[in-house]
Amino acid sequence: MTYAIQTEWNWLVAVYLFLGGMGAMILAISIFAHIYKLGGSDNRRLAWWGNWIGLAMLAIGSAMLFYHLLNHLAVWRVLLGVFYKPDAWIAWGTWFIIFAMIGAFWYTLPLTKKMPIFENWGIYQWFKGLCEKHHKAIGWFTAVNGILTAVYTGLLLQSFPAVSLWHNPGIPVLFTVSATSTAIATLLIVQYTILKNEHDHALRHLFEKTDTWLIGIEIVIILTFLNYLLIGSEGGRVSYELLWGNPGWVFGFVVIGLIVPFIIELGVLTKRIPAGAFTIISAAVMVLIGGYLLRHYILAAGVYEYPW
Amino acid sequence: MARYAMVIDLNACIGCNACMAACAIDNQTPFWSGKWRTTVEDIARGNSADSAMRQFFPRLCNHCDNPPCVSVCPTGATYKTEEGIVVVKDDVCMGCQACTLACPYDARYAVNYKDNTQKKTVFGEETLKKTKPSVDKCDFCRDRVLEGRLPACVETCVGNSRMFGDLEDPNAEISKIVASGQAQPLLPHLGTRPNVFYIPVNKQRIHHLRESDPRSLAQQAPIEASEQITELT
Repeated sequence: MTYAIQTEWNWLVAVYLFLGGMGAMILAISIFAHIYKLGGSDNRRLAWWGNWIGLAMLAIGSAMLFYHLLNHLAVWRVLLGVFYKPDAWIAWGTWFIIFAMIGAFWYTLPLTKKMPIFENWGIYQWFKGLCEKHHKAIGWFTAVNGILTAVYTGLLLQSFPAVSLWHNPGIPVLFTVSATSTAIATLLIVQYTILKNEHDHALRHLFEKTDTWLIGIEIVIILTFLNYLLIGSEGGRVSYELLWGNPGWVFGFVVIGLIVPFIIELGVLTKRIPAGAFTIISAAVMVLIGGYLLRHYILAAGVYEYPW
Repeated sequence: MARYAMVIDLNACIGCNACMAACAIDNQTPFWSGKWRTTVEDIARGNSADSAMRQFFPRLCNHCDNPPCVSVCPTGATYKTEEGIVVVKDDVCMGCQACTLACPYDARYAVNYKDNTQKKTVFGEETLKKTKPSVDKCDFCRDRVLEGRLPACVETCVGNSRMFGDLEDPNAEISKIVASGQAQPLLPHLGTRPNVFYIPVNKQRIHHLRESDPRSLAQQAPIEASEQITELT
């Protein structure tokens, strides 16, 4: 038996999975926060910033995957994939991302006070009005595609049967929880640095509380993976050794990316640590670092068991 | 409908690598970059002079009936033909390499722009078969097979280690060997249902005698237990 790790999908794909999942969930959460006035505040500016940041993340993530392709000129063929390759998750994921990006752009139009260049164009005003009329529907369309994108990043890895670390039901759950947690962390950074809105205190508290729960759930999922890898196949055991023998995983992801922000946010919620912009932003940045490292190391520790 | 398959007798492979050479030339693979459609693993086993042995393990695409590489391909570049051969259309492949990660048999490799430039020099631009950057793999020499010829690796195999045929033909030698259970697929538990089968090495024996056996006195030199030669599953 020979054990080998894959080298085809490198950090570029890890960035794609990270920004894709996080950006998509930023769209979904900021839109829901706006539509349903979460925390009792208007959240209009949060939705505007959230949609543009999410859209940019999806664009950068997709660009990473595009750059990683062997034949860039053939990329258009992936758009046709859903029609005759409905079992290929990349074909679906591409459309989820495209729909989410288009929807996010439409959703921001009625939230934009003045659009440079196009503001006086009749067709722009007409289209803006159309988006305003169907704003809630566009919001739901974008949010659903965003959530599907986040889930897709996990389903993509799950579809490789030879790798124990990836081919299990836990991976899509882990990636979705992580995408949601990192998305909320980004929105908290936006709230504390750009918006500084005194009226959205309840929403910030809701985000902090939700993020604490999500990080806690992520810790539980990581522990279940520990159990699964140790008891399962030899490939899983080798993946376990690669992960838990790597300081980047142990200290970078588990300690800095999960445990420390969990303790900080729990401390803030229980009022044992003084709340403040610096504390929350620090925890949020650590969550973002952990979010990337999770994808990076999960990709790098994909082990194949070859029977020769 | 044909269902082409290959049986590899690991007892007969002498590790001459003629299959690799024939395949590389016939299919124009960028072998200078270490990229082959078929390779022969050179495996050393044992930990003493008595137990030392060398084994050759030819490998290639397993042309699975339930191929994960086909499932994950988002453009349809990888597909299974009606003869049961898994092929890659290089002009449809965008090179995301999801198929490479999906393959449990390490049968695929990436051909990039640089490889294609060098291929023009080595094989000649006018006779080049595949020109686009893409993922490449064994296709059982489909062009040859459709002409009624054997794949290049099978035809050149000096030890007759490789057998090729149609499993749908019950009278074919390969069908009888597979039906007998002598040849087994690799990693069957993954559900890929491969169409490359291996006859494990069976020449090595552990000549163990009980201590009570008078003949054992003649074997004072300890013979270390050989490892299971081929772990097929």
